[in-house]
Amino acid sequence: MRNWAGDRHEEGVTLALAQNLTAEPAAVPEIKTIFREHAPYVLRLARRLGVRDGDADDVCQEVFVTVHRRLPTYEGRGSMRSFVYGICVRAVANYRRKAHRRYELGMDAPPDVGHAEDPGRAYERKRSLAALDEALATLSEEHRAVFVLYEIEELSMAEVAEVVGCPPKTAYSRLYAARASVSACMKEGGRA
Amino acid sequence: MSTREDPPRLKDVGDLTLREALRAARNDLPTPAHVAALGSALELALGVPPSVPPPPGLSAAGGAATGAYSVAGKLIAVALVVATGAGAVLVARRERAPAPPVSVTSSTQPAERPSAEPAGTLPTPSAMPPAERAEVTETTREISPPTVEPPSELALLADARAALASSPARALRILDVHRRAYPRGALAQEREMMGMEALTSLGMHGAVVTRAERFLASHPGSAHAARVRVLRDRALASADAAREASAP
Repeated sequence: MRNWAGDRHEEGVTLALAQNLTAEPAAVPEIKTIFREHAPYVLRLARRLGVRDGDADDVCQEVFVTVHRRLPTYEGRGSMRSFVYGICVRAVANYRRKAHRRYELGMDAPPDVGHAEDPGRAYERKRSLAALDEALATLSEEHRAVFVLYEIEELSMAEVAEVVGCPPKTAYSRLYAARASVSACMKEGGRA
Repeated sequence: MSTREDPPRLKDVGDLTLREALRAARNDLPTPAHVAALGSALELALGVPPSVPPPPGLSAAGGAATGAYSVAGKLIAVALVVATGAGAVLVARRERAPAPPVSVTSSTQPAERPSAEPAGTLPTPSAMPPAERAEVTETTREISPPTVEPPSELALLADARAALASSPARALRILDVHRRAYPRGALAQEREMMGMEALTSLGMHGAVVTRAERFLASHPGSAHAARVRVLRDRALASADAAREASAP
């Protein structure tokens, strides 16, 4: 039996997304399986939604505790990723309300994911990420969630709307507004 | 998944800077070790019972913390009987109850047998003189079931305690091994206590509070209750302090 945090299976997540909304309810997977498949992406999502690295683990844990508690309500008609991400988005919103002081006050150093990475490239990557986070920090909570879910997590717009709980048209308008703001910030940052 | 109505993503059509930033964000994933530690902590926080019983020697429990256990397997279990003396034997007995009475002070177990020596340095039965090997075998037959056994509760918790200061994540993994092997073990409360201490070291204050509340609800009269309250209050205070420190 592998650890919960066994190998990542992004393909598996993609396959999970292929569950048709009208399909028969599927068997609810175990929390361990859900954690193994989604935890890395929940951490990524939390960070891009503005949770500082020092708090990301706590938020991630809160997400999966909530997932565990709410699994009985999961009917298997939507994708598990939408279910988990929806809980994550709400957990981050809760985090922001409770810990408003932490939100976007600064950034911890991005985790070192490229151990063998060329130092110059690592520096560029971190700088690039920091610039993106700065741009994301200018967005409202709602716009940021839509942008991150679509552009980074690569959910479909239908899923984005489902996760954030808004009509698809609203999700589109938030996406376009967020794109304009992020692009402008990135250009401004590039000129600075 | 993308539908025909979805607009092209910026990673494909955005300007170069933005594309690079989005790519960096997409690749900003935690290391497997980080996720592993988080998984162990979460498993502990949830108290989820193992879905599959651990196979002999715990070889399926995974992770660095279990490697030594799976390799040593039965031999360590036998050695621990000798090494940890009556305490470990009694613990083992409680796990396997009900069973016929056992003479833990059997004459086959010499009193001068070393008791504080690390398990790894103990002679294995095969390395012992024939007469002594027979004694150990006899003792083991009396107190052990015929199946291969994992390390004792005591040994696991001692390892977790040793790891706690330097690597709380590793301590959590060892405690996880203990929980799988002894879900209702005699030292379950000690395991929970140590788990809370490890979570405190990792700064997972929310999890500490959750675990503490659950512990106090389940074991209100426990000898550990006072310490658990301290850990809980400290976790709450740390969370408050962090909130205050970051307040605008």
